[in-house]
Amino acid sequence: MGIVDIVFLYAFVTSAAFTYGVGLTRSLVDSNSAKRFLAGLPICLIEALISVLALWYPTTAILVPEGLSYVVPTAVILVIGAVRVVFALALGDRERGNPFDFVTLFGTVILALWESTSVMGAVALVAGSCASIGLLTLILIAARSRASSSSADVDWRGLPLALVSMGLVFIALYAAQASWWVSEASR
Amino acid sequence: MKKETVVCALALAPLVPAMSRLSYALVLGSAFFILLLVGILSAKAISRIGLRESHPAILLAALTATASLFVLALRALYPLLAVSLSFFVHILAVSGLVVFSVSSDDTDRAASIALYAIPFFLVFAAAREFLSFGMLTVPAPSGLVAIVSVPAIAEYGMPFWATAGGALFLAGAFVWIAKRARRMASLYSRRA
Repeated sequence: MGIVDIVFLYAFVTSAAFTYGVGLTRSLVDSNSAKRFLAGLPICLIEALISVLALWYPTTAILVPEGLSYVVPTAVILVIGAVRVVFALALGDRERGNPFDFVTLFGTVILALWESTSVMGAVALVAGSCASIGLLTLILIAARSRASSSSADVDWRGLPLALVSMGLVFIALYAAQASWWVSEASR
Repeated sequence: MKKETVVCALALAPLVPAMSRLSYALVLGSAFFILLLVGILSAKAISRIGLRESHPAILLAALTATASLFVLALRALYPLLAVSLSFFVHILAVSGLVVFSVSSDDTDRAASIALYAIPFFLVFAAAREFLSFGMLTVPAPSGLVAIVSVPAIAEYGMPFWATAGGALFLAGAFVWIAKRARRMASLYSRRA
């Protein structure tokens, strides 16, 4: 499979956000602030790419062949932690991000290591995963800003409307896969 | 309290796509319960030893090691389910750290809030599976075993509810009902 195919696969067809839940929380949290999202996503992408590149050889050449695959998540956490500390020191912002960023980063990196068969495939998967999260968050920011100026019922505002909006995004992107009427029609 | 509940709910949101069957929810619920127990014990041990500065790192190491052991046990007991759920067990370990970091001074409180999530997830997954496939399943070494089966729903049900989109719709509806019930209850209590 080509690199671009992998990016599109994890951005749309088997969306990292909708299929694996990677970045769902981050999308919900970041959709409150477009500024924070736009500043944070490129850094998340770079951190994920560095972590994957640092972990690829130890994982595929040492840990998995030696039957130590259960050590991989711990190694991922150690490397991600180190990369985040370096970035925090470099950017001079020790309180950067929120705890959900770590969950997103961990999910992206471990997905890339488990699902990919080559280092370029892993890099493409990280890019696809970030594209999936970015697309979902951008649509959610638009939906929430529209909802805030609407006359929606007070109980619907906030989290319920955000969750339903995410469900609508899912239908818009994956209607052909999710719909029961398509399978009925093609019987 | 409200903020802590929301953060706990958000921390567990990555599990939404995996909670499409009761059997999956049973496995992930067990994993989460064990992780909470390990988290509480680790936090108590850390505070007794006096290593509060290293609290998150030690807690994360304990949770990750527990998740790895749980995956090994899952591979031995339910090898087919392990293929689908190993990824989510590891995500659960990292989410567990978020749950404990909500109120690092009172680990028991954070865990008690998170414990409410387990029955909710079981009901949520059971509702999704029943509406989608007309059955309820439990884990078995060969995969899944149906304990309840309604052929009419299996034939005419809506598999949409088993997808992530259906789960998000249902979650939105659940949160709306909870918000409305809370508001109505506070209105009645003010009147009374």
